[in-house]
Amino acid sequence: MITTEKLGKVFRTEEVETYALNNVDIHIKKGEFTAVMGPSGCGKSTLLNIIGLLDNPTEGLYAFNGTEVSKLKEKDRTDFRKGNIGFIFQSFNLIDELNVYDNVELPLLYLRMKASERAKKVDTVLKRMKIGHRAKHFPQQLSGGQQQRVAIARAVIANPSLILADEPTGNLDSKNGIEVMNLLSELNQEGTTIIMVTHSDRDAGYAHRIINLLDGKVLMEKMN
Amino acid sequence: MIMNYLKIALTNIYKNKVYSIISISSLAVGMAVCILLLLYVTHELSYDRYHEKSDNIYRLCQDVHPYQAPGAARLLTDNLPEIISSVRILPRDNINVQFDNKRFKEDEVAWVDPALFDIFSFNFIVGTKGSSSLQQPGTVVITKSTAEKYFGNENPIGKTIEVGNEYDYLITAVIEDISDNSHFKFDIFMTLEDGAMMFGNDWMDSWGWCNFLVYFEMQDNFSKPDVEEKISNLLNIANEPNSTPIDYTIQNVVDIHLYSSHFLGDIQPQNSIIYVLIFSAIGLLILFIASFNYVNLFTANATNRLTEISVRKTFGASRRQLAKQFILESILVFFVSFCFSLLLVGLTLPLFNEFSGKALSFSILANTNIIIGLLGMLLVVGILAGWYPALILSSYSPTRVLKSSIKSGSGFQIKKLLIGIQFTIVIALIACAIIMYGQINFLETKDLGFEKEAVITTIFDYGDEAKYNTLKHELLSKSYVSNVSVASRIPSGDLGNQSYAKAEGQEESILIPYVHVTFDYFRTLGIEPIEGRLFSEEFSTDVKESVILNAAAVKNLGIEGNPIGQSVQCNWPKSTRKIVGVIDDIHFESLYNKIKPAVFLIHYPVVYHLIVKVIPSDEIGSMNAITDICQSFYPDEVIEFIFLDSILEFRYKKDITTFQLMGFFAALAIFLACMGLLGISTFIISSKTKEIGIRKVNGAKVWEIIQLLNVGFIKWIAIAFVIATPLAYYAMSRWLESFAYRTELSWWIFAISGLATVLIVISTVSWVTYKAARRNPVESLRYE
Repeated sequence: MITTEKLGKVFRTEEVETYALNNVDIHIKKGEFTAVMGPSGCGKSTLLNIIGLLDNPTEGLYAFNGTEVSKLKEKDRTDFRKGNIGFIFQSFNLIDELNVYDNVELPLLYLRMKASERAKKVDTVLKRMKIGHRAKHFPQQLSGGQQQRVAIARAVIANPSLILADEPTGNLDSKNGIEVMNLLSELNQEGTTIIMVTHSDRDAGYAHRIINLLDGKVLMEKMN
Repeated sequence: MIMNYLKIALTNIYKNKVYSIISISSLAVGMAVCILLLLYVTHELSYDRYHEKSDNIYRLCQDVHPYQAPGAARLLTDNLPEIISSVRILPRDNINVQFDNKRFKEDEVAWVDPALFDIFSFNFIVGTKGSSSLQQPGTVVITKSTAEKYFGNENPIGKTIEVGNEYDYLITAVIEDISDNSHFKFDIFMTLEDGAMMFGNDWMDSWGWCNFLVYFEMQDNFSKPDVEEKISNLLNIANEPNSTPIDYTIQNVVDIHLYSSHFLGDIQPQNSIIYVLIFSAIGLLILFIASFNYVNLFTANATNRLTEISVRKTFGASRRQLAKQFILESILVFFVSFCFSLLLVGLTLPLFNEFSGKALSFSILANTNIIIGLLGMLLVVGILAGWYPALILSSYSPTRVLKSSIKSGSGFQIKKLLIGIQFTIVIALIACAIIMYGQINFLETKDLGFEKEAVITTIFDYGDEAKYNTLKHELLSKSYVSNVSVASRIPSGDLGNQSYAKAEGQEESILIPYVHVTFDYFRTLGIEPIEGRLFSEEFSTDVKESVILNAAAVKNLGIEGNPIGQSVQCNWPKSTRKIVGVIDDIHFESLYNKIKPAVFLIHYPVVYHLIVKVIPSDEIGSMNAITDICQSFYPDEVIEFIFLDSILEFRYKKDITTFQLMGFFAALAIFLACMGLLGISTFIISSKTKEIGIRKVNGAKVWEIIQLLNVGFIKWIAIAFVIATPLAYYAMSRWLESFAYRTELSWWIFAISGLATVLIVISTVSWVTYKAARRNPVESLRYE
């Protein structure tokens, strides 16, 4: 599903060139659950951004489902992303000004779905995430675990084939963390491909495969 | 989707109260000012357009005034095929009108040709309609409010009013009051059909009696320069021989109100297009300032919305969709502000009317074009103001929230550029306000060359000379009266009575203003001779053989050597007179006009201004007592005295009003700009909390931090100053040009404006910075 070849990302200022990624070759099959690990600044998030089509690489190739996407313009990346990729962040990134329902509905709005259809989908997913009773609440009124469940609901609402999770349990206590990881596992078992950046060995234990990065390079790959 | 946008927009407005209040209130104030000025400008531009034939109605004008001889209209209509028809209006004020025991002094009275009602569109309510109403000799048409004044609810048609204590006029029709947006407003129209009988054939055949307004209905297509040339040729032949040729012009009726400020003594005080432009500009500038506040605060506030922007982008929002969202949000804010501004206009309109002396109402806006225009303006400004923030906000990369290491530099200084433009406007407005204040002050305090204090004046018919003299002696016998005189013109009026005069040894007669006076005229006004003497009852020859000139007349008539004893041939009345005295050039007319030459001679038949100098103590009491004495001598007259200095003040009323409005708007502009500055410096400070903390930890003092922020702003004020100064200089020189006598445009006015702005900015920015700089640095660093 995802193939990168000699992928590189360089940040240039007038004086310095920093390689955030250097010659990264990875292959991820459909339905796989992959964890990306490594110390701070090793390029995990940059890799995730490129895979999630939020950013372009400066070097190398990236094929998503066989389509070369490394040189796409912003507008095309947006179109490609829509409905195909869901995102989960460490700090949840819910919109404070919108209630739970509106936050979860957001990706559907940009897919131009009918209102009745949207309502059905949102209801279903909120129930599944066990936060249906919180639909009218605003993010600040929820606990961290509840907020992350809302974020997961938002990530899966459009049935994406790929979910990218950037330290999804980083801001949660262990009980809530385990709950979130169980949800991700469930999604993966239903066929969604998941790539997760994490510092936690416990979380990485849920993955089929662990990719270790150091200084922008793949240090080693390990099957669980 | 729209609902989602609206939800976010409303929540943001509610959540960021400080920014929202500043943005919405300054937009509302800015729009309210704009709407008020739009009402004002629309009204000014609407003058005389309600006449169905307005495009074809033209007024005949001389170089400096619009008054013509009685025969001019007929001569031109007969000879020029471009003219379809013409009407003459002979305006009069201070006319006694009586019905039964109701007697009033009427100021808006005119003798007119019947064609008036064919050319102009006035609405007849009852009676004979159109020009037939004045076809018969001795007929009159009155307005509705005049009818109510004299007849209450009774039908006035067929009733007779007595005009000037002498002539009976039969009311044939009543018309609606002439609307406010007319360049003339008469209440009583008497027919000129029997003008020869009323005014005498001598006068009606005279080419020197220039007192008639003449209007033509022109053909649809004609060449204005050609017609003007033909008119000048015809009239210069008809005018008195040896007179200086005059360039005649014609003026479309819709231009009269705004393009006649160069005329002396127009039929009523007209406005000037300059003021209309000034106010339009101020309205737009204030709207700019308010919009800039909005743009700045919206953009600044966007840092709070990075998460929203990134999340939306991550989940599929295109840049265009985000931009659309922010523009919609701007339009929403503008619409909310617009609603508030309508409320504000409703509240302040009476005040504005009182200030501007207008009777404006919302009904002016009840016009499809204007409503469409307003909504269009709202949309355009909303889009323009939303466009920049939309551009900036939608460009943020979503990777920011995904903890990527990218840091986009916000190097673009458009915020400061907008603040710079705001302060350009503020500096220019402060400078203009100071200059206007200086000129108004100059007008009010300038030594006019005569004593205006404690002089009261009135107009009525004094009867024969002996009767007037009895009145004079009676008044002089009172302890509170020091001098009494009567004359054809008094200072504060205009020198409109012109006729010819020729000095001894000169070839050509010269058209020169005449002032017909009686004894004690100069003494009553405190004017001393600079050469020779004043008129005196001791010299019996003064009445028929003496003349006094002002210094300008001496020069104008080409008199050389000592003027005293030289003779002048006068035309009004025809006589040869010796110069007995010369007075200084006093400011007879307003300071708009250059001092004119003037010939002063004693001639009782044409005098009508009574002037009385009272002993300055109980002036009001003296005025009442004098009124009673006059009334007992002339029981048939309506006698109302007025102070000379109040007439003088009234001459500059338009300027004073404009100045006050200008000052008010300048203050408003400063206030709005400060609001914006307050918002933006609060934002800058909050984004610099960490920097301030680090600086303080490393030993920076509070004032050093305050200085740090101010320097950035002062640079922009310097630039604003450089741009604003020439703009204000140009605008104000144009305005001052309309005055013949004016203050200097000194450099310090601009320096003060710049300094005042610097002070305002420093105090605003310092106030905000001081609060931040006083905080414990540990707190701000921990907060980060």
